[in-house]
Amino acid sequence: MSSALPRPVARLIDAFARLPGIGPKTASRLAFHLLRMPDDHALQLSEALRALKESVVHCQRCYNIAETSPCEVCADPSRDSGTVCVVEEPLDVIALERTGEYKGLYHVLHGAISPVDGIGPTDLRIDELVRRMGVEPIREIILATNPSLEGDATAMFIERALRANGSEVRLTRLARGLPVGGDIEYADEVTLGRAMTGRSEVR
Amino acid sequence: MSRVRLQKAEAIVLKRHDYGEADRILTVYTRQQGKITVIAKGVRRIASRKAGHVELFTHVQMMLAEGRNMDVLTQAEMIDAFPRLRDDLVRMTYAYHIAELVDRFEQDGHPSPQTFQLLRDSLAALGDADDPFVVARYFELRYLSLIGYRPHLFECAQCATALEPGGAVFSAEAGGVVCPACARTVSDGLRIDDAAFRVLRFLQTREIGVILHLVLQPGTRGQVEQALHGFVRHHLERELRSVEFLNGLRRVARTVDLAPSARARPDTVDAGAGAERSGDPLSELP
Repeated sequence: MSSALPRPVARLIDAFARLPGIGPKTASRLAFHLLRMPDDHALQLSEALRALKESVVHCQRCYNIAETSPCEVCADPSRDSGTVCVVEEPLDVIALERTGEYKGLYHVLHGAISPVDGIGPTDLRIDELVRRMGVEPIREIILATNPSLEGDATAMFIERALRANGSEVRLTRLARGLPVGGDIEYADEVTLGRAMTGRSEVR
Repeated sequence: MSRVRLQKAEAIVLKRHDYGEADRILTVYTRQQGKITVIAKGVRRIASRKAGHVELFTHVQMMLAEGRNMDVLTQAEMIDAFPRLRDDLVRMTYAYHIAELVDRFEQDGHPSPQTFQLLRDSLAALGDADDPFVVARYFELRYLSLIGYRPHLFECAQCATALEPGGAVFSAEAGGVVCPACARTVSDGLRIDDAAFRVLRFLQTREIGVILHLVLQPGTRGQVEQALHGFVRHHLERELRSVEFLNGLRRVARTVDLAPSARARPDTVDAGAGAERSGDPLSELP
């Protein structure tokens, strides 16, 4: 940054420029916008940032992000502790919660197995899931990783890891098939094939 | 009205990463243009018509519109998904390996129909072979030949005298196997036994159909792999991520059985290929 800028402004611009999708021009525009903002709005932002880093923790049971550990879902006695839904990211939990269909607990892996990105089984919270099996009364594990190559590899690995530990738990995978508003003509053969295998009775 | 230039490309997806809200940038190897990157818009939306067709390692017919920096994917239709790669973590890792090799060695926009064919056949073979390890080594040897790094296995890499069968010294620096006299002059010599030497020669000279039922002894595997990984590392001047990943996977495999369940892999060896199984393919070596 040019030395004509006061140092605090330059610092903020640098900080913004580190965010994804924000280049130097956008970063300076945001910084100058904040400079002109009423003090309390700008301070709210700073307070929100501080709180994000200071009071967000990983739930020690499901590894979702939360304000407390155990998180709200894990601490809720009305949830069925016999089912655990395994997802890749915290955002997946939010998506599943929005359905209102699921009343069990979660387990967040924080990623998926991906050789290209160098993410192996030991980089994910898989050991923690195996450990949960030993101490919690789990009847069913729902593997809700993404229906991508990486998600499938992760689900496959979890199955092996659980079986290697002698677990007889019921393992299920989210159904895959045609999306709402989809078009059979454009479906790829893998999706369509799976939709055919997993077809269900008309009720 | 500006004219949108559309072109067809037959492609194999090597790599992809997320971009923006719902887009993906794909690195593909095409028959017509070699390695290129294309942007696939909206493919992360669940109702995307293209998403399933452009998964990693699919062989796909694409329609591309010329974009400012990158071509834009407008239509995609899968030709082959190589489904048997997808239910086996080890086969999948070898698929990553060959895709990573192509991605690292290729420059953008240098087409080679032979490379495309080798890539396609090798992905198919990774699903079908008794041992995907053999296919990965086959790919390395054949691919290195195609791009001008063919390891010398029949004459000394340094003095070009014909090599005798038996144990040999492999040197990545020299460019392949060296004769006993030259072996003293190389600094990175790797001693390989007769079996490993014969396997290397076999894989370099045979067609892919012959190797599908080749199964190697553990000791031979180790030597063949070490020689070829050393060779690749020497030319790329870096370690491949897939190699590190595979090593990690092998450590985990001591406690977790990674082989796919019998149910997931129906035995579909056709009669023609089955005939190869009876004889030892190595017996007819040069």
